[in-house]
Amino acid sequence: MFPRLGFGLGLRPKHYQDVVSGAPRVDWWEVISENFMVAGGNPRRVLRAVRERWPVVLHGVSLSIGSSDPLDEAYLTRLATLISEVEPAIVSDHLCWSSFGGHSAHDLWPLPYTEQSLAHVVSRVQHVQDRLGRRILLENPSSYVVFAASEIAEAEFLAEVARRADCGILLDVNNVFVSATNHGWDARAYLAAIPAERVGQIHLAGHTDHATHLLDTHDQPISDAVWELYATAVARFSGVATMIERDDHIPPLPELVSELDRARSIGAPALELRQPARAVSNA
Amino acid sequence: MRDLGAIQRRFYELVTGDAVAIEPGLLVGPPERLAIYARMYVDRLHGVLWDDYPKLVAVLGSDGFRDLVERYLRACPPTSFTVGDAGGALPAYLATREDLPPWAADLARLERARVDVFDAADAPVLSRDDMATLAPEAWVGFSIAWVPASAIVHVGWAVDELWSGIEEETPIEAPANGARAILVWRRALTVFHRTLDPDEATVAELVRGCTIAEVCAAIDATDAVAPAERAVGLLTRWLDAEALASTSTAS
Repeated sequence: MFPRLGFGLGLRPKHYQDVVSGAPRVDWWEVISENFMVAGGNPRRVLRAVRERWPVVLHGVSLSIGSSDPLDEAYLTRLATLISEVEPAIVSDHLCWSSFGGHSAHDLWPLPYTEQSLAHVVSRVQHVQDRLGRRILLENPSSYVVFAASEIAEAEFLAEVARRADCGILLDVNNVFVSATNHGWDARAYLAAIPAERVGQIHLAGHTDHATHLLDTHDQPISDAVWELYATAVARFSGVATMIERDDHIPPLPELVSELDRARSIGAPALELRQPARAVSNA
Repeated sequence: MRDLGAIQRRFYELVTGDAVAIEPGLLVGPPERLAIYARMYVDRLHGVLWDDYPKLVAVLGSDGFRDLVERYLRACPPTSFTVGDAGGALPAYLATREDLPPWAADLARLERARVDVFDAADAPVLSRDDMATLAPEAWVGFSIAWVPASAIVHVGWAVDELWSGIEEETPIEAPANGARAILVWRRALTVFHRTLDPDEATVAELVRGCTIAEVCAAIDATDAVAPAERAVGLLTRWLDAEALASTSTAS
């Protein structure tokens, strides 16, 4: 069972002061793990202050779980240290790769969904979970290309990783919509292929329509189409901790809280109707 | 192409610009979609470096800085999992660019130090009150160091003056040539920097756990007319700047 945290937001520097000095109607905060893997300074002060009042979730972007490079043990050590300090409710990263040949791209690149990739990712997730002493969640990426080598649908690949590695899933509803649109997938079939008991968190975000494709930009409000898909998602994954990501063109905090209220209005009724989720044994 | 490592190698080469031809059998769907990743790779890192080196941006202009970033990423692709480290090698890279102003590397060195100091560890600051509580006989053996959130930057040009000029939006002029040491430090959440006096620069290098007696001896070895007053003056200046930490364990 994953913690039922309610409705959260991504903690961003623009809102630090409003969060620390105010009482925004937010149940929990998600922070980008790597932004707080520094020795000191303002980010660490803010994180300590926020953690005293709210649950915090760590969301990483540099684990590079799918890379053919070796896992970065120094990274895992720093992440473990941060986890011990923050005691986050959830730790997550992405089903992607972002490093090659010792170089880090700082982007989230898609995997070829093959049996080889599946075995590779599963073994690395198991190693990470052993190293951290806890289960992690992997997020479905947004993508713009599909590799010809892929032989497994992305949702089935993610579900199988979660089953074999005994990890959780961070379901990004916007990413499902973006990738489904870009590749001609059925977004609702994607959701149906995700095992409900493995979903520990949901992301919502905005994207940009470039006519030929959708770009996962996190720089504008959530689209109506994604809200509709979210309503479908909560019917299947109700009660799951949900948050909104905004990384560019960040509006004042009250505006984001209002957007989060819309998520509450969709997700909370489903939460009340929800039957207890089937528990997943701890790793 | 089916092997994970081979696919990732080819994708990496295509996205980071080392290859241009997309062979059949790598992707399904529009091959031009790969350009999205290539653009995002540069855009993201360009944004990080833009935030880290605002004065260099002012000197080079938007287009010049974009060109610099694209060349820099090819020469020095990021190796750290922390995106904030992506621009760490830019000062050294600039030093290799003979087509750019020779002081650009020094300006970048100063800006980089300010970024690093901002994220450096917190530590208790030594104050005048702390020193006042010391028994007189304890002074000479009391050891001091710069706070962890500090750096001494050695440059060959007056880039601190250039930095201030850009901050004050005065017309940009090439800085004067001349070696100097710049102390960069953080007080609470604000980063400061200041050019050290020549004798102060010599002593500053010792302030990494040295005793006050050693500071006084170092001042005595300079041309200071009144070494004792000068030593007290420097200590007071550093204390008031909140740039010192105690490395002594005894009270």
